[in-house]
Amino acid sequence: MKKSQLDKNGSIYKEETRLIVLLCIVGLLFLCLVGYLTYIEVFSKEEFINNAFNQRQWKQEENTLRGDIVDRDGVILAYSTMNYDEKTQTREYPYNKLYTHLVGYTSKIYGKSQIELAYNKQLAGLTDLTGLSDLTEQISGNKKGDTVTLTISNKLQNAASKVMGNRNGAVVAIQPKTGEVLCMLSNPSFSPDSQSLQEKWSLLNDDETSPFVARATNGLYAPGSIFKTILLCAALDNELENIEIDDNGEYTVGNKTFTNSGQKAFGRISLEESYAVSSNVAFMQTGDILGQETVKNYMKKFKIADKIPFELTVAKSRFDYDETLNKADFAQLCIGQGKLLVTPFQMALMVSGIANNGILQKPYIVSKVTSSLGIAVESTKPQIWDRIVSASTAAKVTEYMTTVVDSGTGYNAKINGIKVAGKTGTAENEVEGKEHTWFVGFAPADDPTIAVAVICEYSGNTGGSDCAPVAAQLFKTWLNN
Amino acid sequence: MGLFNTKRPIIMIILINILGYALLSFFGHNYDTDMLYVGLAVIGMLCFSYILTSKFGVQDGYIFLIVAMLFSIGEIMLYRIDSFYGHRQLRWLAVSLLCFFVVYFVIMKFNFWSKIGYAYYIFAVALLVATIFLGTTRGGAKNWIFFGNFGFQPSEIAKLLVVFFLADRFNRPEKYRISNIGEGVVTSALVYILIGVMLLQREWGTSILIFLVFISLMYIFGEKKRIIFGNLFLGCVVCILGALIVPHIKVRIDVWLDPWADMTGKGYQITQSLFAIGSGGFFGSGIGLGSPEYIPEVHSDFIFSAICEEFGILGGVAVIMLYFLLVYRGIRISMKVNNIFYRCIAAGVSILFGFQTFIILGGVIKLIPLTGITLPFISYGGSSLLISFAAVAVLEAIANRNETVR
Repeated sequence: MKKSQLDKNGSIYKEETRLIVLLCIVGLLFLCLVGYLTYIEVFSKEEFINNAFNQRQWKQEENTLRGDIVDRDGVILAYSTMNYDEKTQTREYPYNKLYTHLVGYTSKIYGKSQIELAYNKQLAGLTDLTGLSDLTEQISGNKKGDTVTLTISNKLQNAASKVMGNRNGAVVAIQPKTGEVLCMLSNPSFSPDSQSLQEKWSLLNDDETSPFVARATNGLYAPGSIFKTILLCAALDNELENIEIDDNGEYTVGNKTFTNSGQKAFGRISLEESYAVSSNVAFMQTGDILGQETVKNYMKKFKIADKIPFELTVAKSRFDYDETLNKADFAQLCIGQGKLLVTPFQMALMVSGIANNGILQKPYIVSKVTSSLGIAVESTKPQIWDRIVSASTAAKVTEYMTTVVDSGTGYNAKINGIKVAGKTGTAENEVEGKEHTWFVGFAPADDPTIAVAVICEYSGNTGGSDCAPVAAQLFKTWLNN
Repeated sequence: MGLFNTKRPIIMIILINILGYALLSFFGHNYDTDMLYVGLAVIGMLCFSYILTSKFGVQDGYIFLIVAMLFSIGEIMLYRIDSFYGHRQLRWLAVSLLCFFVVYFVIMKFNFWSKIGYAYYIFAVALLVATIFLGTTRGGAKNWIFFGNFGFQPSEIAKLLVVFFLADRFNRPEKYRISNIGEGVVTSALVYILIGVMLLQREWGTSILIFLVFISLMYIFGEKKRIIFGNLFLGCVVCILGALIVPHIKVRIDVWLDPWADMTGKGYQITQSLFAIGSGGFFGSGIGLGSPEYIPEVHSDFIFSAICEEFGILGGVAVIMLYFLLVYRGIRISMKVNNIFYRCIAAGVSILFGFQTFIILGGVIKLIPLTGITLPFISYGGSSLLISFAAVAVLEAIANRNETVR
């Protein structure tokens, strides 16, 4: 009897232990729920809130009048109007196609791009989704998003567009001392307003000229002769300033023979002359003296193929530093052809570093963000990115670039009374006889306030005849200001 | 008097209801006095029932309070989502409270409960089979029976009946032996027949729930190890086969693994749920200030996401903790009871609440694949609320049966 009682109690105690085990299991499962909720809150929250399919964003955006985007002088580039009866708003772009690749568009169907995308949170007033912080605005009723002020000059952008006309290509202008982007034009463009987007989207998608590519920041081209500027810096630093080069019009590697443009031969020339006339043979020889490693080092100094810190996405220039080039490919690289592709933005940075005594400023396009009450929420201060060449080398290169404009291939960039520095370039592409043409330069040469890169696609002319006049027009417009 | 006794904080329930309905009356910028009356009605019903439980000497007063709190949170949320659901749920509350007391007294007063094991089982299977023939399809599962306007889900009742049936099996194992086949095998077979009928109606969630409760009870009440492991093995095989063969389950698992792949289609519901949870943050948008209405079925399966959006993740954690307390009180009752039959029911009901909560909450936050079952006391739905209150009444009655308290 006693034994069986004990058995019964024994089994009851076992049951109690197992009940507690089960309670612990339930507790553990619940802890997993709490843990996962916390994980969502800490790690995935941003991603969830900003997901394009999260309609909360649209709802909040609809209740808030989207903020303006203005240029450096306060000219409005994008604004919204509210239709209070229907509670909808329309985004207006007074300059139509001019800023599509810079300001971007905002569409419920196609999403957002460029500044409209990068600064969506501020423009839409989405800074806080919990609704506690904007209590004042909820009480006062009307709510407006922040105003985004760009470093862009509307005058410059208009001038660039006018002189480029309907030619495809890009124009980038940077204030070398600060890194402010003054002008950024990409052709072809398209109308950014919602209605035209809806009407023309599929047409634009099929267009062979790829109007959706923002060429200034995302177009990839061979740099051609403007790349010789980097080689020039390397040569000057390696005490090759006074070398004499024998240019007989041909440079042979193995069974390949390269020539100068127009099959010219310049005879015995100095480094400065070979840069001014853009002798391919001379720069291939200089590259051979410098060696592949040195040239690659200088490309790295100029941030070629680096990630560029900028508010908008800039395509990385293409170059594989790890690949050892064969002699023919390296000879091609020395004149900016072959295995290297760059963006116009990258080339503008290259000259702006030289213009600023060898110091490259971090580029930026948004100078400040102001709340609807006029309070500055964010502002950007000029920042040094890196020194790319010594001040003395930069001064020397500037001198050489002035010669290019004064008496070399870049004479079309000349303007009255102001010293201009520049370099032209021609880049071969897949279409024979329809080369892309380049011009990079800055002005005034002794105290630069503007550095530009211009590219005209498939122009078939030369950088001097096609692109230099565009730069001249930009310099005039900017310096007369 | 019991009402303001600080040991049992009914005052908290009154407070949350006052706050909730006061805020709801301002909802949408128009002053809505109806909400205040609704609030009074909820407070009145809950307080009156609470006083009655004290009067009748219900032992574990906490359980009723936990449940009242859960219901209050759910009802405020339902009114915020759509007052149509709120009104209907309010009527169901009245019926459920009545049911609570009826079940409580019926369990208390009669003693034949532990003698009719097979009746529970037959009733459960009969209900489920009837659903196959008389049922109506709602949300992809044919699991509703309608009497005119009044519809209920038999699987809700079946859940509770299975627990009673299993309790009888552990209390009188000799009744479940057929010649030389052991009670373990016979019960397993019977449970699988029932789950099979349920699977025919695509009640994945409830099937898994019943399976888990079955395994748990076998573990607690000392079933032979080989029977338990055999069942676990079989369960895993069925799950894997289901995942590989049944397209419905396959889709659910795909959506669970990557809902972002098809955000406008199959993944719509779960991604909308995640947006809501993410947008709420720790403290929530505040009641009426979020947008839970974007989630399809937010009033039933997905109500927890709405709670997370407007009450914050901290509010969600509070709800989870309330469920844990409920399970804890239930297990505590089970441990105090000597009679194996009632001890098993108390354990079964508590575990049922625990696993049901985990399965649906884990589903809506994408921790586990989603299976559509209700969140007890919070989700909209008459049969769910009624059965949940009945289950709680069973727990309270077991705690009060004098002869069984040690």
